[in-house]
Amino acid sequence: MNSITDAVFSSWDLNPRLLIPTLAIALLYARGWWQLRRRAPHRFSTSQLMAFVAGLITILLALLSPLDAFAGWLLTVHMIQHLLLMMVAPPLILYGAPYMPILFGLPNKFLKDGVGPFLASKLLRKIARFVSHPIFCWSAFVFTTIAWHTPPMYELALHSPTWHQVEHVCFLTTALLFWLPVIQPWPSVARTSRLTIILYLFLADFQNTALSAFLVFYERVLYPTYQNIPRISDMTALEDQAAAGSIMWVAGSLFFLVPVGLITIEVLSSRRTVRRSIRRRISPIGPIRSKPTRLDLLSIPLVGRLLRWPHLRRSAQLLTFLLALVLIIDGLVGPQMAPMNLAVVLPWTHSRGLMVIALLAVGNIFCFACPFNFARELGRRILPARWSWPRRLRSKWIAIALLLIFFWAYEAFSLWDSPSTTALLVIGYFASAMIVDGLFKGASFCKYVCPIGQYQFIQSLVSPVEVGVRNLSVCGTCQTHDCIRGNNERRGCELQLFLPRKESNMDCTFCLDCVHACPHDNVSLLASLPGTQLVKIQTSRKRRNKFFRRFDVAVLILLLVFAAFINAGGMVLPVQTWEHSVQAKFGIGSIQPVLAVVYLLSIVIIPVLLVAGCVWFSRVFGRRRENWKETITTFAPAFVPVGFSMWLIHFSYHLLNSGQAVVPVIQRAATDVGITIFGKPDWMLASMMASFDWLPSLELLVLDLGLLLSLFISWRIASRFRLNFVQTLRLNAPWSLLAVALYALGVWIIFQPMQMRGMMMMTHSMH
Amino acid sequence: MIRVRKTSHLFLPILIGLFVLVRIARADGGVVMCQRTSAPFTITLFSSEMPLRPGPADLSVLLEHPVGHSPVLDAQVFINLEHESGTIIRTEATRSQARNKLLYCSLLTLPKAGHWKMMLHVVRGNEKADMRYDLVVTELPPVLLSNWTLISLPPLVIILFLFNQSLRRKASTGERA
Repeated sequence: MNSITDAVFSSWDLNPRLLIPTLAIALLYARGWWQLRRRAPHRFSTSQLMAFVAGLITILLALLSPLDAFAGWLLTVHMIQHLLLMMVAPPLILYGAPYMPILFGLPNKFLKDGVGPFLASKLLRKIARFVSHPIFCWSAFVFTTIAWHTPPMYELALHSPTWHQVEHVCFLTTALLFWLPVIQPWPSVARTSRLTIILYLFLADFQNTALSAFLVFYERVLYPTYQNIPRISDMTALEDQAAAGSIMWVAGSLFFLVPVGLITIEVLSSRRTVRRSIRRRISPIGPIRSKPTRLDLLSIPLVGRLLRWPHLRRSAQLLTFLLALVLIIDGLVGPQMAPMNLAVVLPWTHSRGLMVIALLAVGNIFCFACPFNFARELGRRILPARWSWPRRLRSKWIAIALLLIFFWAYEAFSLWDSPSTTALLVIGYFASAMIVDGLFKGASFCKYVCPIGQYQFIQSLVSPVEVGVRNLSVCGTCQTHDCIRGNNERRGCELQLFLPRKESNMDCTFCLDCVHACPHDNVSLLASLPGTQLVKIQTSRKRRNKFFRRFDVAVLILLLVFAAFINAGGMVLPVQTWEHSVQAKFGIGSIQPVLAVVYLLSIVIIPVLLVAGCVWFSRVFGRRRENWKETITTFAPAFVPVGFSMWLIHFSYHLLNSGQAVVPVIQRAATDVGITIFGKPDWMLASMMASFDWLPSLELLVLDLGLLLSLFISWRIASRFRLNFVQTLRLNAPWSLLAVALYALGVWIIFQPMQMRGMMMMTHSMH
Repeated sequence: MIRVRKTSHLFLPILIGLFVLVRIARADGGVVMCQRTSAPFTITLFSSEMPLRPGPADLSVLLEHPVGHSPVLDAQVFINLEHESGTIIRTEATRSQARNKLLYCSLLTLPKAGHWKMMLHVVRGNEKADMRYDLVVTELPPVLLSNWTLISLPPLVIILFLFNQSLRRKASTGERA
């Protein structure tokens, strides 16, 4: 192969934005096909699976191969691409009879409650019957083909990637419709006789012949782009046009006339064969044999062994403890320039970013690897640790107060810019953990004091992994309850969570003590889709989860939700400019009073007023008589997803954009103590801004998903009261509007210039 | 036991799925911005989309021998952009960045709108060529407009959800009746 041919054939674009959805559709089909094949093996053959996959591969070939790269250069190549999309991929996909496999590939609940009502809708059935009628299918196909081959439309597609995508969508969808009456994939029924389909195909071939003949015999170049573009072959633009027309003529006719032959044979075959085929078509499919179970992480071979390793948690804690020690030392004795010090870069850029990503991907990993655990255990050894935590303080109020102080102090004392203050904060944290758990029994620090822990507990409600029991009936016969009481070898749950009644990650530190203590090996790490816990606890048939009947928990949730937006908003340029303009306007010497008032308003007063407004509207419009505390505790959990999405956007933004800044800081810290193997600090890395064009879109998508999950949970909560449709809407409306308002604030923040505080680069736009 | 009868309505979800699939595919709408012969090469400059706007841009270059028009694949292409305000961007266009491997591509970020003076510098052994071109970058559309697909996702899902709920309630009322 010469270099030019080599270049042409290497022009592939393995675009994940196309590959991932294609793979998802293929997996969905395969899952459904597998389920249905077990129930009706005669109807779902391997050849159908192969045909469907081949259809998807054909689409990928048309859109990712050199065919796509050179479609704008040669009309012949473009024609081949369109033939693949219209004549090859659709029949293959339809031969795979994709309707039932794809539907059965969906999660059962979503199929029944999400898709089911649409499938049963009379209106949609009417529309679908109209759209799938052979006359409509034929007309749509022919009209689309002719319309997109007119010079203005074709040129539009060649000049705009967006319109080119629209063209491909039109071709593929109308081709799927066109081939529907021809292939008649199961379980669709014939709308017309097979003899009519022969006429249907002949008429389509007539149209194809006329259009291709026009391309072949027209004496001028129809599409000016092909005349202006550099010629990469010996063909002139006119020869290229004639060749494209010939391909359309010959290949197109072949695709129409081969089915004509096959249908003719089918029509002429004996009635007995047809009757047998009809019997196969209408025979029912059997019942579902097995109920899908949740993924059990401990039963995965290598992962399970690693998670069960008794020293895993201690090793993780040792690692984070050592990092905390390094952070303290560097913060106190290292350079006091924020971007050069580990005490700023590690906690404020990396730890927070990794923490939220871990929450979304797994769960509460921070508490699992908590560095303060050593201080707690030291406290228990050197102090009496004999008192019970005061009954009046058994709530989240202390943690709420500490979180409020922290959010204010973070801005007021520029914690992100002060290595020594950060180091002192970490020392204070160690001391508190040691004193609290040195004086009181159980995990009082984790349960009632630790602000990071409370943050983790609330955010882990959206996490996909949960500690739970494999089989509830085993717990029913258990007499010892080692999971909570412990035994001679292992202690039970320090936070007093009784596994059979546990419904969420609230107050769970992922310590896995219950996993190790259970003598029946009945406790595991169970996975589900992110957010499932919140949906489950709001629709549980049992009594409402005890945590979500508590007012302090509701306040904690709302504080963390509003703080997500205020904390992110605090770093955008317009907010900072406004704060300084207020300071100048009132002639205040320091920014501190302005910040104090702004924080008091934005994190306390405005949220209180907004929530009070929601309670009032909800009670008036929803005609409910619950007291205001109960209304708040009922709806507060709905806001967790939208708040979490903002935390995720904010912290992962810092991590992705300045994650590389840790390299020179480690190099500097190592050099300071005489370790030279990492080389001299490369400060260019700290001042460089990683650029991800896709990040704003991804952030917006994350916020979209957070909002939608919040709205869904809010609706489920309102539906619990068994009101009619309009009353449910009214009851839910104020809470949904509040979620939408937070979403709008989040969208605004995403597209503002960001102050990269504590970093060498200063201002950057997320957009 | 499930007995399936008329199911033409099942066609719609499949159609929607495939619609989404094809919609997100990158298309090949490269536009020729200019073509000049600057001995010893014919240089054609492409842009991914017209008009160019601030943000990520895809500028591609095709080099050909003026006689025979065979593509030149072993040259180095440098792009120098100077904004009217003085901002300068220097980058190299390479074949490795291009999807179409006959092109030299540079994926760069244009920081602002306005007039940019573009200088293309091509080197191939002892052969050198330059080309100047005035690039006009128009203002960005409003944020909401440029992200309309993602902004419109929640309202679309909400409408579908409410429709779903109303259908479910109608169905359950019908069953009770």
